[in-house]
Amino acid sequence: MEGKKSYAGQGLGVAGFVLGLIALIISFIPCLGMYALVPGIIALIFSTIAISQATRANASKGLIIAALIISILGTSIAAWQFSIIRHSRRGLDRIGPRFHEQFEDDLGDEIREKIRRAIEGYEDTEFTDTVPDDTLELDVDDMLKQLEKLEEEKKKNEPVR
Amino acid sequence: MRRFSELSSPYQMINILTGLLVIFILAYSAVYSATGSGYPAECTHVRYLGEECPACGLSQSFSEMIRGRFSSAAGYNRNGPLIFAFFASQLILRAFAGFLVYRIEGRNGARGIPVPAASGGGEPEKAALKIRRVAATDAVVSILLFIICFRHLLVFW
Repeated sequence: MEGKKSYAGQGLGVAGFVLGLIALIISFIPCLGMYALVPGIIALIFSTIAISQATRANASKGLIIAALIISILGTSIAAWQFSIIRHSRRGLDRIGPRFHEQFEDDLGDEIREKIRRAIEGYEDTEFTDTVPDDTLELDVDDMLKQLEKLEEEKKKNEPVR
Repeated sequence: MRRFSELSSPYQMINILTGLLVIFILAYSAVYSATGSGYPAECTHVRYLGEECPACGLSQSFSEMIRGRFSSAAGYNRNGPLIFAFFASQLILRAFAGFLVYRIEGRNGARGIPVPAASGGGEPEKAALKIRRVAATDAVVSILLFIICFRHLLVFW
């Protein structure tokens, strides 16, 4: 008697295999690794349903087992990447503000010290008067006149709206 | 000419779906340009950790590869051309394996795998065996290609 083998679970097995393959490939790309969790988990669900269907119907399970292994591998790597990024992010959030405060304190001390040294150096320096006094004289009235003239010219040059 | 629903060997279905997936990746690279902006995928390392990873610039590299600008592609990501070669080789492999299975099934009737359980060494069994050999060779070649092309990213982890 020729017993015909069942195809139960094969469709879900194929879907699980392809999704697992997508998850596995994406999981190895650091940029997108953690997003592989989505196809990985779907593939895992499909493969689990497919294997239970195939077991009940005594169908062939080679492909479904391969799909299950690939899904587990892809999902595990994606979950690992997700956990690494989450822990690193948490660490940065925890250390970040303290590092900033410490950095600001250190920098503040350094700047204060430099200013103190500069003031001391300035006080110790003897300046010689090399600039003639008359060059520093400012004719405020003349400057105001020039400013008024410039404003008038600007008004003249403005286009009429 | 057989209908799509008759291509029901699981291996053949995997060939078709994986081939479509690779075509989608190549189309994505063709649609977006490296010089323009607007790639929808953002690097999680840059977003959450503020540092670049070895896969950064891969989309731009793929876009350059599909336009035939190989040196520019390597400039965006030095692993880009090799990873692109993996996907391109997969498209060829899918087409080749699909054609082989189509011919084997065509000679012996549809559904090469699985075989009738309690029959002897007839033509369908031989066909199923041939398809399994093709599938096993394909799996080994694909895994080796994956390891070779993704080795820099595998080492990163």
